[in-house]
Amino acid sequence: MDISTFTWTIFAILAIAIAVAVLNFLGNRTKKDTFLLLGLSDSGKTSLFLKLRYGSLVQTHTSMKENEGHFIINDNGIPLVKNPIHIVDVPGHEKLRFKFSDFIPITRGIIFVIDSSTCAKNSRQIAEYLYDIFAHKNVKNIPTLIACNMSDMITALPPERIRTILENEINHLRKTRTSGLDHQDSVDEVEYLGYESENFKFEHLENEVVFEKCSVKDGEINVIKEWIIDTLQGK
Amino acid sequence: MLDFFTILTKGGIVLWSKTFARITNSPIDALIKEVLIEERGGANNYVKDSYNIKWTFANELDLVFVVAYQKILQLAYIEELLATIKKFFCEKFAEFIRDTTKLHKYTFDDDFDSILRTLEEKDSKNDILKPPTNPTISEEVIARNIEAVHRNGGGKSKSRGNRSKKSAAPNGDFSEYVDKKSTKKVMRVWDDKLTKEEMNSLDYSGQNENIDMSSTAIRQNLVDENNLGHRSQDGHYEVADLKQDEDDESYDDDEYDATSENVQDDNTTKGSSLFSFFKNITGQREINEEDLTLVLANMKEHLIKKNVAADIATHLCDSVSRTLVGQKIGSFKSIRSIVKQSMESALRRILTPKTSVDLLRDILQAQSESRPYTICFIGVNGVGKSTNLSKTCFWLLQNGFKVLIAGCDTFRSGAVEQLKVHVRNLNALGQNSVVELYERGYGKDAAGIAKDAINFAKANGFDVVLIDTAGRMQDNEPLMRALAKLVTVNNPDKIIFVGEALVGNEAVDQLTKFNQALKDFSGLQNPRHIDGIILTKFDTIDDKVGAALSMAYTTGQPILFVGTGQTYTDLKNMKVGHIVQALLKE
Repeated sequence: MDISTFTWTIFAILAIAIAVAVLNFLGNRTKKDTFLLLGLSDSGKTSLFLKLRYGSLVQTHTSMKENEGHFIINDNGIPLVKNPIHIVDVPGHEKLRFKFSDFIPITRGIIFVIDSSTCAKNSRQIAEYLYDIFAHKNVKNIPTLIACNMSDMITALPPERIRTILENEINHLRKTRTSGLDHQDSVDEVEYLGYESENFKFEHLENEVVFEKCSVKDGEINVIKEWIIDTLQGK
Repeated sequence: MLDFFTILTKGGIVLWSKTFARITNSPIDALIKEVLIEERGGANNYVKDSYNIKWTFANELDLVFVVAYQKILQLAYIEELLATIKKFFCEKFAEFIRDTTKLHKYTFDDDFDSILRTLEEKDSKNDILKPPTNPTISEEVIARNIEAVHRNGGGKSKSRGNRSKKSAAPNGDFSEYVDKKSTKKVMRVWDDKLTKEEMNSLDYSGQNENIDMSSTAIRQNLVDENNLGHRSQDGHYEVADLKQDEDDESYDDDEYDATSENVQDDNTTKGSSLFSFFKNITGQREINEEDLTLVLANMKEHLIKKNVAADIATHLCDSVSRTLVGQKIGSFKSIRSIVKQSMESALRRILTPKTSVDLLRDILQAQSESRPYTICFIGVNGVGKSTNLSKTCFWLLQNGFKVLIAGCDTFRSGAVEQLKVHVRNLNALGQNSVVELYERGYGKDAAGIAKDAINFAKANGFDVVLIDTAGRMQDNEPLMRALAKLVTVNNPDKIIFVGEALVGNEAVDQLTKFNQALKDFSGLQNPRHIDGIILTKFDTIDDKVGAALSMAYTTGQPILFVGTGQTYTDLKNMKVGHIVQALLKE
């Protein structure tokens, strides 16, 4: 075995590997075409994912891992957007949520799914998750759709009502979170939401926030598709 | 006999399922939330309501196979069923599962039925033919009740049945797989790795039929045996030294993986490593159990060195191993880095709280209901309950709450005076802060004092009541009874366990016994448990932060704060990333 040939082979392979890695990295950086599906457990994220991706539904359980895939929005066979759209369904379980921040650099828009029928009961959890998302230092300017799912249920609240509930809740949270104890290393990566002197409103955010009602079960997800198209075109 | 059998992806999409009876309360969701996500997957079964649930992963395809049956039944063939179905389903539908462009229909009912029937028949035959299997089954029942035992089942009868089944099994390597599992089962607690490996290396069943695995498997068997001798001599090597112990395949992988490392000029190793290098670059390989054993053993040792309780390190490594076996790894990755990555996300998951830790929000809620919010501090002696109570008090005062401290340590002399000093200091520190001490001296019933204190707080418009209790060892039954009584009588909003970051294996014992006492001695239908943990003396331990992991894992509850010093401001929120980093740092 010739040592020098071997060494050169190694160098060549290493160089190629590094080039590929760098290209990948750059490629990921420049493209921001991903839509994230976020929300609490059992709010219907995976179902929405299936509906968007395949147009049909199967039974789902709590996710342990994110689902991702591409899909094309069709209008009677005519694709409305040129490139396939990449969507990622991030598990809503408290212990797995942190994964959403990995996707933020490539995110074009966030679809936050809420179960409108249990919204009043879970308002605090929802608000906390939303707070964590909006207070994340890189989420500024990412448009967000708050999809009030399960509007087919009798107990479902209208989006306007959900909006006020969440604004109230975030208002409280803003106070308690900012007066919480310091973190160990105290590297603050958290933004203050809204204006200091006023009660919190979603309009105060730099992100564009839209509330829409939908129902994955009944297939009423056109508002979501339209929002995705608008977001992609409003570059 | 079964209630349902479901095949789902890790993303939560059900591929195929069959229900035999009406299912209540979605036990699968509970399984995922309470066991799989919490990294308790090292255990083998899970009991929810009236169901006994067993599961298995097919990591190469990211699938989970779940089967549930009534917990009063003892079905010996379940493990075999899971393994058979897994094998069969993965072979039949691998293409479908990998192709994610559309949702496929999985027509599996007939195959499933026939497999189930075969196994059931064989099982009933075994029962008739071999009455001695009964003792092993009753052993299984006992084993199931013991949480710590993670390999159970009638091993003897199954391995026998399995051999007779070989002709029916679609491929030889499946029977090898089950054999491996069952041999482990026979030797459960006493199986140290050496004998297990010996068994494996002597087990030649089906290896010649196994085409795609045979070369690597045989080589690994040989290499592993060499390695074992090696390892038993210098078993105390750190993870960093791992690459010297490992077989050359992952040795050179490591080097190419870490580009900064220099390529050492050694003719003999290079010859073989070049070969395996090209072999690796041509395709992916699957992780098998032998690959993991050594890496995980080192990882376990590393965790224990970081002061993680031994039991917990074992459970965690088992759980990580289960999520990795069968996964495909790419050319440039070493097993060590894969294990590390997977361990990191596991640690992160354990330490991330699953409930809100926003104490202030809770207090505001109580305020709006115009009642005082009560927090009870419990723990063993000398861990810093009073000190951290006063730190918490300082933080609450900073936020403008009126705080009442209830001195319920009526046992240790000086305890009340200590609190008096704290109250005096705290009053002097803040401009408008209102803090008072409610005490009734020594020797009285703590539960009664706490009750009076809460009533006093309600009457005088206090926002928060902090209850200081006497320290007690977890084995001291009379004192534990008194604590349970205090909790039952006053039903505090939060029960906070104060624990030292210095403890090692003891952490698990403390927490389980405190929780057990709260449960056993309360006499309530829904007994309370520890709601959160304060980890004290955190500044004294450098990077040996294992206690944080042990405590979070044992209780499943969040670590609310860490105490990092002597002054009132030395109470911090724990940063999960920081702990994970410290745990994995070499």
